[in-house]
Amino acid sequence: MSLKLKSDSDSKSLLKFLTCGSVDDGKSTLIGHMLYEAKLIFSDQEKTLELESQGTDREGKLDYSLLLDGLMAEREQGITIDVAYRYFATEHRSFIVADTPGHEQYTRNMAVGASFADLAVILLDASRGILPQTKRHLRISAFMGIRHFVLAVNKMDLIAYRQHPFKTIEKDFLSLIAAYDLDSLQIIPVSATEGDNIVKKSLNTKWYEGPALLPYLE
Amino acid sequence: MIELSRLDQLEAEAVYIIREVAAECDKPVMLYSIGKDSSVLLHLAFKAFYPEKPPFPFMHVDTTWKFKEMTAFRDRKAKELGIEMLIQRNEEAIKQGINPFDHGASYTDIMKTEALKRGIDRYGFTAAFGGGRRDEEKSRAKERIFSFRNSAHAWDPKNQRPEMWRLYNTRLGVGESIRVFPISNWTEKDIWQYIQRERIEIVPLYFAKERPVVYRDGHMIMVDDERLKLRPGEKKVLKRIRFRTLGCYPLTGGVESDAESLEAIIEETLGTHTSERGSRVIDQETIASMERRKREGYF
Repeated sequence: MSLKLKSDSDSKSLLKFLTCGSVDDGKSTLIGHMLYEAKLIFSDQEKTLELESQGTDREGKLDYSLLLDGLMAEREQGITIDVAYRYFATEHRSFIVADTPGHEQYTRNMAVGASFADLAVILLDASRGILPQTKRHLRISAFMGIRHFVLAVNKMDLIAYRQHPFKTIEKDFLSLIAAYDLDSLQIIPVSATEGDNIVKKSLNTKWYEGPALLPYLE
Repeated sequence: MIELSRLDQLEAEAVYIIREVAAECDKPVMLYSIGKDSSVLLHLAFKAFYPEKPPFPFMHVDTTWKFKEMTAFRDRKAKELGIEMLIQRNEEAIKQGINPFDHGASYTDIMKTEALKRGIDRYGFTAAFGGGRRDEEKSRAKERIFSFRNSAHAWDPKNQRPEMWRLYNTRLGVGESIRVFPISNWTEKDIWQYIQRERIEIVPLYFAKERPVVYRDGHMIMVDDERLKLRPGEKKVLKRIRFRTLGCYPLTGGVESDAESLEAIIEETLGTHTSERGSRVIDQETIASMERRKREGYF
């Protein structure tokens, strides 16, 4: 893991969070990219990832979701079936992330992840906006007792990083959460495949003034 | 409210799980593999019921290919602590001469998976604790703390029971048994820091020392006894090594190291760039070998 880790991490605070949202909105890819870019995976895992990515249709680019989707059936179908737990630490904080499935059929597994977490990162696809599954996951997370939320508006690259569609989604989401009693919410434009606003702020979204995802979680 | 440190939180979670199993399950057993994770688990089991002894036996699945220092450690520990240590082997396969050199992947299936299944059936255990951690491997990262197995001991990863908050459902279907992983949420670093904090004794193989090794298939394999035959061109050399994980000696690669103390090991673990499973010959055979083994009843 990172060389920067200090051995006094026993006293560092621990954040348990989950990623949720609809199918194919990029949850596993987001976490995979975050671990990869923040150098939180081992070199032998990195090598395996590079090898395995060759067999996928990402045209030789790395398929970060393979870091999380550990079951054979998941890799064959390119989906997440059950929760994966990953453990990592930065200089400031240690984390446990529960990466949950987006398929309706596996909603109960998403709920398992939600019961475990203190913060939810809800992803949605910027080109598709808020979907029924987005609302369902928001509701389940709130119901399971989560009060801290991040909305990651993913696939910004597909809408050419334009601010206008982002603003529309932001408005829709804010009206959606009016019914819930939340303690915190941060809305971040990201691209899980390209790596925008995940570990550091992206030049593609200069109009966005908030923090990138990992620094925010820290 | 008292703020618990990270290690205290992990310890409390594990103790809670161990007590839950003792209270809810008919016939539990704790699997003991002699490794560092098992040593932590054993320590936690004693803490959970102190000053009484843990109300269940321990079982070691013995392939007969463990390091000599491991078996000696096991026997001494069991005696010191006064616990019942069941030793389970696949006697049939031993008679047939199954070994890690000639029988490759099926060796682990026969000597470990099969022996484990027989051991559980033989005594009728309904729940077996193990020291698996989610940070070890991708399919383990997907497994519940209470992992149900059918009558053939198989894991069905596509159909796991929900496990909400800390409510563990121990109800068994016909023929089912449970594998329970109290240290699921610990990382390798947590294990070492806990060993240091609690002064837990571990097998000396974890500490660096000059040991006789051969280079084989990209690993440094220790020549632990005369059963390891040198292949043409191989030479026995003395190297200062230690082991990050312990298993059967012909299948466990050592790493060059000068770490002779826990402090040095922790320092080394923090700065390392390869995962601990990288030194296990068994896991690297295929991408999904761990999942396949679990589906077939492996821990």
